Amino acid sequence: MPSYCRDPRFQGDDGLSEARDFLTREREKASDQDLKGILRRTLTNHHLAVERNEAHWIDWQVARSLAASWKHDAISRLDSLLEELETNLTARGTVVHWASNADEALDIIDTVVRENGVQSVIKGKSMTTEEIGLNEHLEAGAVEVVESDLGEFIIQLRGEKPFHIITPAMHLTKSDISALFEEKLDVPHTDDAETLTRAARAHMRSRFLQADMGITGANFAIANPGLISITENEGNGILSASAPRIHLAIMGIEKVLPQLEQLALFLPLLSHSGTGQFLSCYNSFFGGPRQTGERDGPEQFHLVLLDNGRTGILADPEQRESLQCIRCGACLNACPIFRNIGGHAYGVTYQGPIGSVISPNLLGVKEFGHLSFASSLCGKCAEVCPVRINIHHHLLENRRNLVKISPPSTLERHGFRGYSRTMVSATRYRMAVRFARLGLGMIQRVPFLKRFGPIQKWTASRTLPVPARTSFLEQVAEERKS
Amino acid sequence: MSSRETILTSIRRALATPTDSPHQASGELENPWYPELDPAPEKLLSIFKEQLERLNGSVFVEDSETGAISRLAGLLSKSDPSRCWYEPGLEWVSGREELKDLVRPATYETGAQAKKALGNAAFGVTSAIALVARHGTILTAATTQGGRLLCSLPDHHIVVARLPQLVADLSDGYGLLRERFQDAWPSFVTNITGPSRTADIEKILVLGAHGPRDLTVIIW
Repeated sequence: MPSYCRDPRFQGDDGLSEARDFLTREREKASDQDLKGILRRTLTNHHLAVERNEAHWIDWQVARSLAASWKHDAISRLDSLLEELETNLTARGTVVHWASNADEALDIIDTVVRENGVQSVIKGKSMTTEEIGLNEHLEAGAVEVVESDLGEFIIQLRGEKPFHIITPAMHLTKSDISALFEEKLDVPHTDDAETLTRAARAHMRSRFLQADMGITGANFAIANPGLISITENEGNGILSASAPRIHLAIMGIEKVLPQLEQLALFLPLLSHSGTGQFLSCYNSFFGGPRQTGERDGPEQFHLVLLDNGRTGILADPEQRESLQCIRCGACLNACPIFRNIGGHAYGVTYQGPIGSVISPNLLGVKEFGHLSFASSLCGKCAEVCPVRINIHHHLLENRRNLVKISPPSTLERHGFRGYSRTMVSATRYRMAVRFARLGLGMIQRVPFLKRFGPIQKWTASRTLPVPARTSFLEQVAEERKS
Repeated sequence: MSSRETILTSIRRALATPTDSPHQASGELENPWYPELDPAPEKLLSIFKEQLERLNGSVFVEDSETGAISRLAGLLSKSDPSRCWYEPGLEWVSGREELKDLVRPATYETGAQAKKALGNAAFGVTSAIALVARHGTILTAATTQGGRLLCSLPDHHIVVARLPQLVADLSDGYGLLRERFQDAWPSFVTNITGPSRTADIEKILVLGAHGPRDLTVIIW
């Protein structure tokens, strides 16, 4: 369970406190004009980069299909691939751990920390460590943790959660960051992104060299020849995994692929969809601790394979496809809801459309099912997904599953029953149109009515349409007569 | 039951109900997603150069070994020799009179020594396994390129390579890795595509985030 789920503010007895908090945050964020401005600028730049990059591919659609089929194949033999990965990594001296849930993963990490007297940790960017609430846990045990990815470092200094799985500090401007660095790192005020980056580099250099342990995630694992692959641009991933005497990586069990050669497709695919790059700057393969004949590298390499609800998704053939996700963030960038409310409003580790698909199934349909409604079902997410996950379709399935376990209110149930009965009969439909025209007209004339129940929900942020004087059907009938 | 057994059992139980992929499967690992490149070395070289320069890397193509050595000497002479390191055993560099006073071999034995030597390094000179033309990528490994830190800590990473090391695609490069490391896979292999970079602040590109600010490839 992520740390913010343990936050007492988020706990209620009806299991709906998450949904209420989501509505509060969503309202606040959707009316934040500065935030919307930043999101619009960044995401537009991102989309232009992705579009320019599409020219490199013979057919981007073919590449997507191939990636989807390879991922499907890997998920279909997940057990044997994980065993093969374990065998090959262990042969090189890696310690492979298995964790059923977040608490087990934290226990494993605690043991490594304790047995090696680890006092300081340098971290590469990893959403899986966010998922298990690692930083807070280590800090509570008096271990110093420093995030080394620039965006993550900024977020850590602010005491926030990542705003976006790829670009954690997407919501901040240069001047926000300068003010932060001035306060926390004593860096003189500047408006220059390069000066700010230099300051972070200088601050971090000694930490890379002094940390006892480096902790990273993994973008892919390869069963043969047995390695994990980390994609990054800054060089902090290599340094986190190489400078300290211990490297520990943690990854979801769904990330394993059979063959190294498949990365020739997946690495450019991830870069394309994640950042609009042809290929990210560093794609590094880690296959063990320092081997005989190598000049440097960690003495120990630990890999934690995390389930934490993933086998539950695997057991649901409908939802299984969502395990193909490579966490590129493309669906977040494309989503009209994300573009309006940003990542913090969701209140979960994995935000945006794919987050709304997997979070209810990882954390609880009752508590997090409401996220599946944070979508207009426009389908843009599925259109940009590099592994062709039918995201909006899975959101609909989630909605259905939620309704099964927590039935809607009587008003809603009767309302929709009435709606479906009306829509299947021409007579009832015509009658309803007449009533609706009357009703809408009445609400326009009597403002008092706007404050009532379901009407109020609509009118709070929208103007009610003025009904046309005659309906389309009536106009056609009129035409025919004359 | 251990967590390992619990997880593997849950996976097997789940997979007892198989699903079909709606997408066309392909057993081939060949490359149907990029247009084919002309394999002629000079063609690959020009693509490699164009790609890497687009990413702010520099590529120097020399016509002789002497030319390559003097190019390297020219770059290294800008810095204090105590901050310049090369991959031990790199035959290009070791024993060269012209380079003797400019650069020293990175012959540290422990991680602590490596960090002490390289934490403030100006130049790191290494070889490469292969150069991938399509992406302008340099493929290096820990066992052969002087370790992990020589290519990631110095301010400026210089790669020296020969023309026949150019390959068209990543998959060709991975084929070479398989051939070379069949029995003893290294703990670290990296695909380097340009100098270290970040765009975490307002999506503005800044070079030299944590890794090298400059990347130079000398080919002859």
